[in-house]
Order: sequence, then structure tokens, then C-alpha cells
Amino acid sequence: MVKRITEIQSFLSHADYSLAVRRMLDLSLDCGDSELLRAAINWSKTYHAHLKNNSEGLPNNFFTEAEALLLQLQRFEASGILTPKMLMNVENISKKYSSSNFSLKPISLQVKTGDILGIVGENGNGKTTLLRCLCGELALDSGHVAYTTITNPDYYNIKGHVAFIPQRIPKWHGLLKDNLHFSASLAGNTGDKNELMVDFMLERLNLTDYAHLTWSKISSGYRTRFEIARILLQQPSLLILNEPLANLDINAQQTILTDLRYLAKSVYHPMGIILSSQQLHEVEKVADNVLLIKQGSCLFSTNDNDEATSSSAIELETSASRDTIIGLLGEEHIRIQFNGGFYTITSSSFNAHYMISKLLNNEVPITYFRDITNSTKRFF
Amino acid sequence: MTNKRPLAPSILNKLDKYLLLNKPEIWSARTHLVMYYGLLFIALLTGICFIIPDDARTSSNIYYWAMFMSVVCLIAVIVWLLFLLRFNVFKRFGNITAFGRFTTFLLYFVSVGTIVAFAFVQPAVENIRANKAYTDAEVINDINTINLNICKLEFDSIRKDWYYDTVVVVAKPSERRSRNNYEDYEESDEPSVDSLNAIIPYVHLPFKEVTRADINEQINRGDSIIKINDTLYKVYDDPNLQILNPYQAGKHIDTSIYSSIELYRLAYKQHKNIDTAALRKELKRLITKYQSPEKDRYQYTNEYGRNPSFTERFSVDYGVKEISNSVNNVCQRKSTWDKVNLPFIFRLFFYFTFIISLLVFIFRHTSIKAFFLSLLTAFVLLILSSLLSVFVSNKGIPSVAVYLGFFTLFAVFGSLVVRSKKRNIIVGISINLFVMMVAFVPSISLSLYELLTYSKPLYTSGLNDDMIEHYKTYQLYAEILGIVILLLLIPTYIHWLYRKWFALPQD
Repeated sequence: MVKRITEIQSFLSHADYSLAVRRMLDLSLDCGDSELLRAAINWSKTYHAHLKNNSEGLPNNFFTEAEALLLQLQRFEASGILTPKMLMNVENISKKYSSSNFSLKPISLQVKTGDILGIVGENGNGKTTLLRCLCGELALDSGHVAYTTITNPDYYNIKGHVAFIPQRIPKWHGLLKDNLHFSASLAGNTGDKNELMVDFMLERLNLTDYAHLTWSKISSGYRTRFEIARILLQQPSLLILNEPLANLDINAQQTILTDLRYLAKSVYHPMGIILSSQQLHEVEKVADNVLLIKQGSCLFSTNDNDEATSSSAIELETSASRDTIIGLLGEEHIRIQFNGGFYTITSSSFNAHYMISKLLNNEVPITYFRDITNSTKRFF
Repeated sequence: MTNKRPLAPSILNKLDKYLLLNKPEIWSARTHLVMYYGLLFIALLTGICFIIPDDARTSSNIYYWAMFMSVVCLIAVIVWLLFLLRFNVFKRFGNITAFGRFTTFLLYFVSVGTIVAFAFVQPAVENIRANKAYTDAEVINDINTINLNICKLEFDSIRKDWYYDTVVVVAKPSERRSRNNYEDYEESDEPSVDSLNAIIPYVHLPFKEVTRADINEQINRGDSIIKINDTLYKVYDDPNLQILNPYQAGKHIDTSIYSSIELYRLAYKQHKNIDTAALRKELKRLITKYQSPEKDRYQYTNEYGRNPSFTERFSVDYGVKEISNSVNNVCQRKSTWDKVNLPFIFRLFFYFTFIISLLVFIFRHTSIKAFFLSLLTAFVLLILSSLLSVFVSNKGIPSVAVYLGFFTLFAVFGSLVVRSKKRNIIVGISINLFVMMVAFVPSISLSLYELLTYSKPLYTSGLNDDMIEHYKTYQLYAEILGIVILLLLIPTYIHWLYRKWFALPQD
């Protein structure tokens, strides 16, 4: 608790107000005090109203209210401990479509509460098939999926606990806010609690200004965010998202991923998250484990990276020629590939730090660099 | 929730919000909104129906209204469905309580019922207005006065030779005789045998076979009957003196109008020393009272037919023919909701509502593909069953037996969901058709029992009123039993079937 309060104080002191507001909301929710949560929501509304008006500097009462909230939060001591529980144990599941040649080869994985599992891979390699198998939408040809926290695991219960957000989100009808209230009711949050949870989620994902609109009046990025809000209000124990970043801008991608990270580890309602994406680096930043799926098989897992530790790999964008780079690093030590945009350099002799230092010391102009030693990117 | 609904009071908005936050199943059915706007529309429609000028003597516009209101009902149902289909607790795999499972269907029924009720507003208003304009006693008195006055005035012209027929009372007419009797009934308006002045014996072969119930009915009606022995009767067919006799009169009016024999007896007693001028004046007043303001849609002429009966002649001479349709219109409007018609109207309302509600219920619990394939399957099976009945001699038994056969088949196939690992479309269709058919199984079983016992439907035999009355009662019980079975199965077995099937993974 103290750590989280200190974290919020740090965000406030460094003017990371957006992050401070979101974390304050999370912490208030984890405390389980509805009055405190209501106060945090109102504080968040003050902040968002200020942003909307584009007025200079935050009002003083923003900071005084923050202090008051933090003071109240200090009273709650034991609300910050998350004990991971096994949610899903997948053993050698496979799937073959009768109408096509594609097949998903046997894959095993595990997901615990608080975990984020990233699934990456090129288009048409089986990411969506795997996700649909995991959420019980597709029948398996072999293998077994155990939903360990569900007491009566018939498919109706499973689908009530495992939420799946497809890439193409089905259209919502009616007011967006009504949909959120409806989802909150389905989770058993009725009456005032329903209103509180919807207000929380709208503020948490910064959607309050759009809640009175309809589906056709919001952009595809906001649709994704509303869908996430709706699903989160249903309080699933496992959230599966198929390409959630596809319609989001760079900032929104980062925000959503960070939010998912925090929400997964929420003490109030911890959950596991499985997401597929083409944004490898963004996913890798937040995921506890990343699976690379290629032609229906699990090619690589960051939790099992023997191959990665045996060699280093970097991505490099430079105006220097291939010969210059080879000349500096030595042809016998590296393997270099150019994809038209940047170089991918793999080496068993040098680590990433050495390679970039060598190039910089020899005044090679570098416009982009990334260490992909532990990334799935090197297998693309 | 926060959008402004036209004409919605704040209490409705509060109720809507309360249901959304607390009772998602009830909220998503939108019954509260359907009921509010439906009742508002019914009130408006009632007002319009009362304001529109309408004369009870003119032909009823009920059929034009029915067609118009059917279109309105269809539009209203579509609008409701557009709102209903937005939210579905079941398809979102939400927790549905046992009470929620039970009330879901009832909510659909109430919503559809409110909409279907639109079509019954105009007939109800028409009935109220007709009853307000002409009381039962007034109409009965006027018809009796017209008929009696004419009989008094024309007593000397009334035919005195009555037709009669000899009948034999049997417990259960034979098939051959029944058929003969049926034909006899068809021709009974023009008896071909016997008259009071005829010399031929009144006992002729073959005797007309009637049941005890028929004889009792004729005795009760007061027609002349001479008992020859316990089973043989001589039945006189009195001349038709009901110059004005509205065929659409309700039972209450019909039984209160003087029968021919009553008119004959009263005229016989009163035809001497009558005040002809006063009777004619009274007749003219009544004829004027019932003259329709609109031109009659049925063409009539003030001319006799080729061989006019004395009834027809009186009808033309005194202008009764001119008002017969008007009086009939009045009686028809007054009797729309009487005890005889009410069961039919109630069934019409109930089954329309029930079937639409059932289809909505099924649609809400199955996949779109399975729903439409179920309708297609039902349609194809209907055609096949009809074809089957064409090729067999007994039309009834195969039809109902096939229905029960299909029902059993669908029940068995539907129950296979317990062993399914994947969502199978055939199992889904079977469940849908099982749900569609289950409420009608008791009625169909009763029909099959009746057919097997009596060889043909009782209502077509027309011979045993007691048995028909019993059959009607049993049929009513069977209908109620079917509904009760469905209502019991919905929150239990049917919910379980759909829950199991819909959540299964697909191939």
C-alpha cells in the first residue's frame, strides 16, 4: 500500500497527472470503500474537466483533494497483496479446419491471475484460432483446456467467466452507457454499486465524455476502449483480446496496455489476460510471457528462451552501408540481414551493448536501434 | 436510459433505470415500455374509434380495421423486436435466476399481447357503441313487434298446412344413415314429403334418424311433435313466420325472438278485432327506425321472386326486406363479444400472442441460423404431412399421428445435446421444434384419442351434442395443460437444453 501511495505521489510531483489519476482510481477500487472510490471518481472528473477546458495549470483543490485521498488510502493496509492463482491449464490442444488445410499444432500453456500472455505471429498463422479455442468458441480436435477456477465448468459457465473480444467488435445498440450498466448488472453489480462501477470504468478508461453517445458516433479506437470497459464490467476471470491494438493510435496503445497490466493485477478483481497483436514490442513490454505462433505451431516462448540466450540480436536503422557495418563488427562474428528499412544483426560473439557501442564509437549514424535478443521479433 | 423518450413520464424513466441497474432480464424485454406506449396507443385508438361517425345500422368496418391494424401490429412488433434484440442476458452468458427464466416468456407474452390487443380495440368500441345505441330488450321488442304485427295483419294469408316428417330416435346413428341424415338436414328447409292434407302414410322408409339430443332440443323449442312411441316421432315443420329474423343475432337475442310457432299462437289469439291503422303506423315507425342511412351494399328489390313464399311477400310488402340487413348489422355489432363469440375471440387473441411470443422466445435462445432452418424444416414437414394425408383414406389419424411422431423425434434428437461436444445444427433445430410443438401435444393427443375412438371428429358428426360439449371441455383442459407444461418446462428442461446447446463450441 505504501509503495503504491508513494508511486502516486511521485507521479503527481513529476506532473504525470494522467497516470496518477488512473492509479488513484485503481487503489481506491482495491480498498473496497465505495465512499473513497466515489471521491476518487469525482477527483478524476475534476482532472478530465480541466483537460477538456484546456485551462492553464491545475486548480489548487486538485492537489488538496489528492492529498486528502492519499491520506484516507493510508488507512487501508492489507489491500495491496495479490496471490496468483492458476486460471487456465492448456495441454496439447490442436485444431484442424475441415474446410481448409490449416491446422493448429499441439500447444500447451498456462495462465495465472495477474498474468498477461501475449500471442504474436504473422497473419494467418493461427493466433485467432488459438484464442477461439481457449475461450471455448471452437471445438478442439485433441488436448484439454482446464479452467481451474470455475466450479461447474460447463460451457455456459466457462463463457460467462472467459471473455473474448474479437478483432471486429460487433456493433453495440443503444446508448453506450446503457450497455455498460447492462454488463455491470450481468456481473451481479446492482443498484448504486452498478452506477459506481460504471462511473469508475468510464473514468478509468477516460470515456466519460462519450458515454451518452451511440456506437456510430465514436471512432474505432474508442469502440475498442468501450468494448474493453464493457467486458471488464462483466468481471471475467480471464480476458482474451484479439488484436486490441489494431485500431488504436500510438498513445492509446500504450495507455491501454498499461491499463490492462494494472487491471490484471488488480486486488479487487485480479484476472488473467491473453492478447494477440502485431505490435510485438508494445506487447512484450507488458506481457509476462509471449508466444510466437508460426504456421500453427508455437515457435518460441519468452519464458523458454534458450535459443535467445545463446545469441544476441539487434535492429538497426542507419544510413551506413552493409559493408561498413560488417567491416566494423567482423564478418565472422555476425549475421546481417536487411529488410529494406532496417538491418537485423545477429551475433553469438557479441552482446547488443557491445555492438551498438562499437558502431557509435566509429561514428556510424544511427537513427533507430532496438535490442531484440529476448524478443520474438528476431523470428519474423 | 438518459435519452428523452417522447411522452414518457418521469416515473417511467425511473422504472427503466431501476430495471436496468437491478433486473437486466426484465429491462431487456422492454415490457414496461411496450405496455406504457401500447396502452397509450390503445387509449388514442379508442378515442378515435369513438369519435369517428359510425351508425350501428350500417355494415361493420371490422374487416377493414382488422387489416389496417394487422399492419400496425406488425410494425409495432418489429419496432419492439429492434429494441428487444439489442440486449440478451442469455446470449451474453449472464446468470439467469429460476424466476428470471420463468418470467422471460411471460414478459414476451405480455408485450406481444399488448400489441396484438390493438386489433381488438375497434371491434370492442363498435360493440359498445351498438349496445349503447340499441339495447337488447329494445331490439328484441322491435323485432317481435314487427313480426307479430305482420302476422296479425296477414293472419288470413298464412299457410295453415304444416309439413311434417317422421323421425326415429337412435342412440348412435350408423355411418350410412348418418350420411343420409346429413343430406336430409341439408334439404330440411324444403321438406319433400308429407303434408297435413296428404293422404300418404306419415310413417315412411327410411326413417330420418335423429339423436335424443335433437329431439329434446326441438321439444324445448316448442315445435309441434307427436310421439308415436318411445323412439318414433312425428315432427311438424311449422311455416316460417319470422319475417324479420337477423341471422347474425347473438344467442341472447336469438332465443328471445318469437319463434314461428309462438308468433302463430299469438297471432291466432290476437288477430281478431285488431286496430289495423295503429298496427301499420307502429310498423312504419319501426321500419323507419332501422332504415340504414347508407346505401345497402347488398342489392335488394321490392319485387317478389319467381315463386315467392308468403314470408317473402310479407317481407317485401311491409318493407322488412329493406331493413333486414340494418337489423342484422345492429345484431352483429351487439353480439361480437357475447358469450358465444368470446371463446373464439379469446383464442384468436391468445394463440396469435402465444405463437409470436414463442417464436421470439426461441429466437432469443438459439442461433440465427438454427432459428430460420427450424422454420424451414417446420414448413417442409407441414408440406410432407399434407401430402401424406392426401394418399391415405382416413384424413385425420395420419396427420395427428405424424405430428406426435415428429414431436417424439425432435424430443429425442434434442436430448442428444447432453452428449454433444460441438454445437450441432440438427440438434439445435430439434430443440427449437420441440419447444414449438410441446404446448400442442395434449390437444393433438386428445384428437388422436377421439379419432381412434369415434372414427371421425365429433364436431363433424353433428349428432351428439352431449359428447361434443364434453369434447369441448376436454379440449379446453388439453389446451390449458399444454400451456402449463410449456411454462413448467421453460425454466427447467428447455432452459437447460438451450443453455447446453448454445454454449457449445462450434466446429
